[in-house]
Amino acid sequence: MKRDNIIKTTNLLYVLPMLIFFGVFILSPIIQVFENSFLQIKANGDVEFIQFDNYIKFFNSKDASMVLKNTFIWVFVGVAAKILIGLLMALVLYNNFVGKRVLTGVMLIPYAMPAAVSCVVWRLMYHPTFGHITQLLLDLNILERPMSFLGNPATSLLAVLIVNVWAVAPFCALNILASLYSIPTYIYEAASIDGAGHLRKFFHITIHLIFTDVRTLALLIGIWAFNSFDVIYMMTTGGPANSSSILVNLVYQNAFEFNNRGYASAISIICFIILSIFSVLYVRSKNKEVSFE
Amino acid sequence: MKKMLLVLLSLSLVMVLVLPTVAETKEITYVTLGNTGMELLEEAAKAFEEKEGVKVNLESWSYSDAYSKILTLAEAGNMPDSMYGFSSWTVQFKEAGYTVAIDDLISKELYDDFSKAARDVCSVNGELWAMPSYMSVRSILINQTAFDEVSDEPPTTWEGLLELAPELCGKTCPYAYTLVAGHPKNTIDCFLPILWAYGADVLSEDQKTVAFNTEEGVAALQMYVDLAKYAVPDYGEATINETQSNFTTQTAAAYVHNAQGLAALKAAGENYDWATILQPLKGPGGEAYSYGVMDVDLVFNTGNQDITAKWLEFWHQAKYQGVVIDKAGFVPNQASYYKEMPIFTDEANVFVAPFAAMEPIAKFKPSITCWEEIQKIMADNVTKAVFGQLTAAEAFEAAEKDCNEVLAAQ
Repeated sequence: MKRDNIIKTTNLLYVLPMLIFFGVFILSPIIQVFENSFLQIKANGDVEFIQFDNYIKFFNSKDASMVLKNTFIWVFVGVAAKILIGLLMALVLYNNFVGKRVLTGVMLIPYAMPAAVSCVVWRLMYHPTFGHITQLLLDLNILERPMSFLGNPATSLLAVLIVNVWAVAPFCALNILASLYSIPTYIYEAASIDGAGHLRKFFHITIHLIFTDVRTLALLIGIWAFNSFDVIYMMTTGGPANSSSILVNLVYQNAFEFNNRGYASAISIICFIILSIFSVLYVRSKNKEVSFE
Repeated sequence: MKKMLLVLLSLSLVMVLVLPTVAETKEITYVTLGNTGMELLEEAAKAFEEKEGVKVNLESWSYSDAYSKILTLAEAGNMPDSMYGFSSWTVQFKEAGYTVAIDDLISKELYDDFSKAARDVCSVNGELWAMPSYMSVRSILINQTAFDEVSDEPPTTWEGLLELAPELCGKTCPYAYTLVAGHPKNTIDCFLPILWAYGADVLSEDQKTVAFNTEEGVAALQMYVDLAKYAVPDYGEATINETQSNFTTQTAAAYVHNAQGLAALKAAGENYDWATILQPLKGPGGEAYSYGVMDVDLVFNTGNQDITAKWLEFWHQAKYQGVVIDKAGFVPNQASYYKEMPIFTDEANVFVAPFAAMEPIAKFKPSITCWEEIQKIMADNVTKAVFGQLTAAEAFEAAEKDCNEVLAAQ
């Protein structure tokens, strides 16, 4: 009994550094943010306990509904587009053809490119007076006059979302491609003998067998998208008039531009709750195994 | 042996206690934004070290994240000793206890050397809480060739400019006007000259509520919205540099700014004879203001404020800062610069003389604790009006409500 206790204590000592690290650098800041979310910290340093006012202010603000809607579009529409385009790219690369290696390399460029570089390139392409996209749309008579895609509240979110999808879709393609390669070929051979066509094999074998991996991938890139701040900040800083802001932009804006630490903390806690749901789903999806037998 | 150890320990203790104190007074940190005048800053810092024996560590931060960076550092009590920044920060940093008043830290000669307008902008309750630094006075610049095509006389009012705008488009310049509105600060920089010309203002006199939601204010916003229809379509995303280049590349026929764009053309050896600097355009009541942008040097409460103020006084000399002002196309706000540098009083110097003459009618942005938030709310609603999501009246009604809530919470 005594020996057991010694072993337990020793084991605890082994994990102690990690527990201290977790407590100091993760748990403590979370508690601090949670505490701040109930406070109003004034410029002169005065602190006032305001209960749930920061949360009420967020849900009552005109921007909240727009930012929540933007976050929903940014995460869910973005993930759907990334997975769909990634799947199409993976299906193309799954086949053998001349130049496959070159195409795979080219396909990875958007993912490998630093976000700052791709944002500058896309800003130039979107430019209303000399951008390629504007010029193409003018030449095709789709636009009557040059248009500012990033500067117009109606198009800014879509314009930024396209850049994000362009950058992340190759990563999805690589993951899906790995899943496709993991499907044993004898399953397809058996299906062919049974008379299944390409579409039937795709929907009943491919989709079915890569579904678990794709679901995990979707949750992962969903979490990344929820937290992604760089592309929006570099291309529109969330504007104009918050039309391309998502929740994390609002946190940054309030914490560092307006110095509203309490309000920013409240929005952070809302983000934390939403992300916790994602995390639980992610962990649960990882536990579900798929069998090829 | 024991004695030897004791002596060594005592020496170490003395060094530990004394050395940091010595080091603290031997070095100070000064932060500038962008690269404006960096070479001269380095030269001045070297000369200051030779004279006073104090090293000035120079840091250069980008404009875009300077505010968040300084707030984060200040919150952690790790501020630089001094920093170049915007006058709109003065009150907030004073209230937070980050900065110190500098009246007693600088010489009377330097205090008297600053223009009254510059001192007023940097003063809070009669005390100088920031040192006036680079000052930009903005008015309207026009492409004379473009305007000659459509009118015998250049416009003197905003209405006059709007009347000419449809005709201006598509001739010498594809567009009549250029607005910069990518960042709330830039949107407001473009809008305030119109708001003030129309007789409205951002804040009430007691600065407790906003004052722009009046008949005049709404008319000013409508003017801005109407002008935007004839502006380069990069509205909403253009940076200040892009707006400047819209004018210098003759894409837009008019814009409100200083002479920096023309100075860049001169530096590149290009012709800028086609550009004319006009007096600020008037509103319906005949009011007109040039738009003053005052940048400041702040002295932080780090314990080194005496020597920091000495450094700033050393830097604020014609041979150092004066030269930067000349090169960058700013307007001097120290009398000594005008005396020691004839180029500032030379009427042929179009980069300074016309703008310096407009300093007495310059109006500056207010300096209040929550200015960044007020500015954002105003800019967002101005943008919504430009894109037709709200009418001018609706936009200002919404902005007034939100701004007053922010002001009330202070």
